[in-house]
Amino acid sequence: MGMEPTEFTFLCRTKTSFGKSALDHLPFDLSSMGAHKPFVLQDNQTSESHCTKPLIQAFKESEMTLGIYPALDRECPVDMETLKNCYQLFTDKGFDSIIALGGKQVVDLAKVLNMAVSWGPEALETSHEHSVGAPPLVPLAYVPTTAGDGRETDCSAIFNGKRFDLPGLAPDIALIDQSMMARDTLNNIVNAALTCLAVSCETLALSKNPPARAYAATAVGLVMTPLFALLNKDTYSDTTIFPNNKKDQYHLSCLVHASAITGYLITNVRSLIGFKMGNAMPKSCFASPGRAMLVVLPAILEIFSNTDSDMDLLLLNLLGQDAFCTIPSSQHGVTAIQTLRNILNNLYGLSKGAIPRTLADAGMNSGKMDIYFKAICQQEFDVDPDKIKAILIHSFDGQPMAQG
Amino acid sequence: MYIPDYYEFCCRVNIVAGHDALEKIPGLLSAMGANNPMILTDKGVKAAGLVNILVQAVEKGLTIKCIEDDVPPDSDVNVVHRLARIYNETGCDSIIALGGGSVMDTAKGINILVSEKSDDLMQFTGAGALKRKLKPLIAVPTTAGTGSEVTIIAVIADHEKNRKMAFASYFLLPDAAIVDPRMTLTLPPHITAATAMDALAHSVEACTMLSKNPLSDAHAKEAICLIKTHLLDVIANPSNKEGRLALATAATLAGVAFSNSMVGMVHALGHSFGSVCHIPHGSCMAILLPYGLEYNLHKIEDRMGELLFVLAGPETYTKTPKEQRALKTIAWIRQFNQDICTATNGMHATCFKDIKDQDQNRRVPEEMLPDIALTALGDGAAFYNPEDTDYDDWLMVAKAAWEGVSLDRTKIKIG
Repeated sequence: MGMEPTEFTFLCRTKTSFGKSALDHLPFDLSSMGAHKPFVLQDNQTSESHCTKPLIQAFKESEMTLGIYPALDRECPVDMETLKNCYQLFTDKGFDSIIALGGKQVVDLAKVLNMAVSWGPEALETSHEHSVGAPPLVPLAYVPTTAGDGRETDCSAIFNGKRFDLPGLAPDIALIDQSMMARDTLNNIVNAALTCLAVSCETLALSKNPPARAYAATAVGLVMTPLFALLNKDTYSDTTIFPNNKKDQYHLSCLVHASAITGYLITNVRSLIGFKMGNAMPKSCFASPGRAMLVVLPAILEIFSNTDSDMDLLLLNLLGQDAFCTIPSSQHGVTAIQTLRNILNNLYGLSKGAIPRTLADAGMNSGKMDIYFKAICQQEFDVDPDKIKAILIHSFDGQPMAQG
Repeated sequence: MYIPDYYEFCCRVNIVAGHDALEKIPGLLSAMGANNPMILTDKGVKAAGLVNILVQAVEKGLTIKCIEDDVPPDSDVNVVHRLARIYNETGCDSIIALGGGSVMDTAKGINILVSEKSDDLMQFTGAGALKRKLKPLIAVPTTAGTGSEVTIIAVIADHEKNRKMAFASYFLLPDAAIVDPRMTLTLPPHITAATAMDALAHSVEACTMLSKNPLSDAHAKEAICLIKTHLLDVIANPSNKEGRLALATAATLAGVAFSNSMVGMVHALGHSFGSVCHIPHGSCMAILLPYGLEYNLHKIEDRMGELLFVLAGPETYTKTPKEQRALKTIAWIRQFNQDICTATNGMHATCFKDIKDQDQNRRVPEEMLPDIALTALGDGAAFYNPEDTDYDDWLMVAKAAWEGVSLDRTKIKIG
């Protein structure tokens, strides 16, 4: 087991803190980076779930001063006016660090604000120039309150239709505390979990990057149990609210942890085919890219799994050591792919058809495959376009390659 | 998956690995706005020709301001101050540290002084004294074992005052760790073995001690896989570049793992054998690893049993009844040590009494064992050991490891 490393790079600037009372460590973490006056950004979901209370409590005896910006509307994109207000407040009041409390929208604003306050507002126009020898950004702590798609902890930010990609943009800290889990739709949470599962499984099977594989192995473990536990509810629907009790909160915190790892993976594993295909699928068919990523993954693995892949490692992490040992080694590759198909089937059943098993389930039209193909090929792929086409065709009805 | 109530995991080092990883250094430094590095190394590394390889790989993209090879085997505060002055006088803007633990620690110390514009290293001892990013530091490990290229700690001795000062901060982490097999290609087999066993000990203790967590487990298991697959091959064929890269990668992964979960008895006692009798750290780790596990067996039986899967493979794991897996793990490590001993023509010792100097005198005289046990009592690594320890326990383990016989587990005081 294990692919030989040939050449790889791996950088994760983010310190991950996970668990009970993780929040209590935040004042120390920030002060160890020279910060004394953090500026807190949050969204309305976070404030409605009263997540700022434990944050304030954690800082009570820290001799640090928190400045809390009014909650952002989670449903509305952040505009330039908000950024300007934040910038003005941050600089006028002498804040020296940022805490982003919430989800993607808040983190995007925090990352862009960080560039503006660290390098000057003009940096938003010339961010690429600031990446070389630029002074360090101010400390940024991300306290997720629900699971995301991983972009929260990667090196990018999207603001006002512009995408920023800089190594320094990743948060310094991702702090996952069970008590900070805000109520969200089960739907959103499942979407995040599926993104994480797809990205991690593809990394385990096809990446030769050992640190990435280590992170991916952890993420699969963090997703599998809670995903099925939270789906094993009679009440699953697009609007089911979650979590409702401490056990749910713990499961959600595990998924949030896995989401943070997804960000580290998408930053470091450049050739994630499923991730790119999922993001290019029509939004009218897929409620989230994560759903599409998992649907195409079995076909991706069928095409790209060969002597240079590690289906053993994937199967091991999907099943666990004891169950893995019951499968003959000659069957590891086939069983890993079948296990993913079984997961898709189970999710389809548990969600009463809301989570698709195939592209057809998602409402994609077989007559429009060429259009989908062209849209997907606008992404940068290092692979033969014919293989992308084959993945699409075989993911349409979930037919294994071996069956033609 | 074991998930503790709370844990932290952090490695902000950019790990750059490959057969031509050295050539990436100019680009990495230039992205940080630095082009005028000091190359810091020791005389052994220089004599092995590694400085030349490094210089050839980077000189087109950089202006090397100075090459300093005066780093002693045990880093020294006066050396740090002297080299920091040279750094400033020659107009350096970054450091490339080429070597093992002492070079890395010295580089970290110099980086504190030149970044903080200070002439007193003492100001920055302990944890958390540094509050901001230091100047660019690139670590190029040459031993594939210590993992110091990814640790937040530096230990620097003040020989005049006969003390060691510890520095701990995330800001001490190098900006990049360059894992290039050319840097370990000339290591003789027994040193290759000892350094790899150091990495194996880091990994196994990371997976079994009190502060283990899922991310350090996963890094450690990747490292274990690489070591058990490649070590004997590389000993037999030292010019095996793929194997060398795998072992160097494993050492870095193991460094990431143990620096996020800490180590225990094996390291505590190993430090003592090292400081009292000057036994190389890797040799201590190789000998002590099965003993540390044996001592803690009753507390970590499940964790040790799980490791059998990674070490011996699924077939052996399946065939071994659950209650025997932990013992089998220990037996596997003992046999691995024995296989390495055979492969190195006896140069890799499996017990302390077999380590001898050029005149065939024992380097660990039996009468030194009480001193070694006493020294281990104060070692910080003991804090993370699952079972409590006292002087008698340390002595019992040291004696067994000296003799090369299994521990009498009936004598362990169950805490």
